[in-house]
Amino acid sequence: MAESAAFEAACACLEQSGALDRLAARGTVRIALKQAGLEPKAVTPSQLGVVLEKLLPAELASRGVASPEELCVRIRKALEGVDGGARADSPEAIFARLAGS
Amino acid sequence: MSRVTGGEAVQGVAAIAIGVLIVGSLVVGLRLLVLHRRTGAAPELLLGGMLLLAVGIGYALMIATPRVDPSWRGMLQMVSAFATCTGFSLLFAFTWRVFHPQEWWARLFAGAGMLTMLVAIVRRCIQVSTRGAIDITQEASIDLALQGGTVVVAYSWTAWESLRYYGLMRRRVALGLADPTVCNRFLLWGLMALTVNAGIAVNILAFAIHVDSLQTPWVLLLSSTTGLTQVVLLVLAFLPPRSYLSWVRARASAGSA
Repeated sequence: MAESAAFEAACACLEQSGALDRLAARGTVRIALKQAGLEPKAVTPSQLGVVLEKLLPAELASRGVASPEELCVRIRKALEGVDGGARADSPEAIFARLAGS
Repeated sequence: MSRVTGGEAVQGVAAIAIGVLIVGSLVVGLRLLVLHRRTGAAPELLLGGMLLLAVGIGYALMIATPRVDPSWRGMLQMVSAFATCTGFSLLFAFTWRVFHPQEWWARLFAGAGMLTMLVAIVRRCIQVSTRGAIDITQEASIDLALQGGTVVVAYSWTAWESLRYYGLMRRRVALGLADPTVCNRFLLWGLMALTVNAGIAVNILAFAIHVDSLQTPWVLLLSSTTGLTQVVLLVLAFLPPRSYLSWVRARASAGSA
C-alpha cells in the first residue's frame, strides 16, 4: 500500500534540503514515526507535525545533520499545503466510535 | 430442607456466569447495531452481529438444547451451529476490515476462516439430519477442530492485532497524539479475546481427558471465571461507565506528569 501524502512530502523536503539522500531521508522519518507509534501509510500532516517537533530533530542530529530544528521548521512549512486529515476508517477512529467517544 | 451440595453450588455459579455473559453480549451487541444504524459503517455491524449471533443466540441455544423436548433438539442444534458459526465468521471479517482493510493476505485469511465456519455449519446440519441430535460430549475430533479450533484462530488473530495496535497507541498517547481511553480500548479487546481462548482451552482439555464439562466442578469454575472476566472486559471496552473513563484519563495524566 502507498505511503501517505504527508510522509512523502516530508521525505521529499528532507531529501531536497541536501542533508540526506533519498534512502536515508525515508529511513530517518520512518524511525521517528515508529518511535511515535505512527505508520507511514496513515500518518496525517498534524501527527507528523508533532513528530517534527519532538522526535525528528534528535534523529537528524544523530546522523550529523546541521541545524536539525531549522530543517524541521522547513519541513513543517512544506506540510501546510498537504491534504489529509485523520482517516475515518483507521483502527483508532473505529475504536473511538465503537464506544461512542 | 435439602442442603445444596458443593457441585450444585458450582453449577449455580456457572449458570449465573453464563447468564451474565449472554446478557452482557446481547446488550453490547444491540448497542453496536444501533450505532451502525446511525453511522452506516461496517465494523459496528460486524462486531454487533458477532456478539448477538455467536454469544447471544448461539450459546443460549446450545445451553437450552439438552433441556428441551428431544424432538426439538436436532433443530436447535442446527440453529445454534448456524448462529455461532455465522457470528464467528463476522469476527474474522471485523478483524480484517478494522486492521488490514487493504491487505490481500488479510482478506484471504478472513475468507479462509469464514469458509471453514461454513463447512462446520454444513457438517452439523448433515450430522443432525442423518443421525438426529448429537451428544456434544461425544463430538468427533474433526468437529472440535473445525469449530473450536477456528474460533481460537479468530480470537487469536484479533487479540494479536489489537494488542499490537495498543503498543502503537501507547506511544501516541505519550506524545499527546491519541486519547488514552481509546488506547485502553485496544488493550481491553485484546485481553477479552485472550480470555475467550483461555475458556475454550479449558473446555478442550476437559474434552481431551473425557470429563463432562457441564458436571465437573473445576471445569465449571474455570469456565465461569473466564466468562465473567470476558463480560467485564467487553462492557469496559464498548459500554464503559464514565467513572472508568475518568479513571483511565487520570491515570494517563499521572503517567505523563
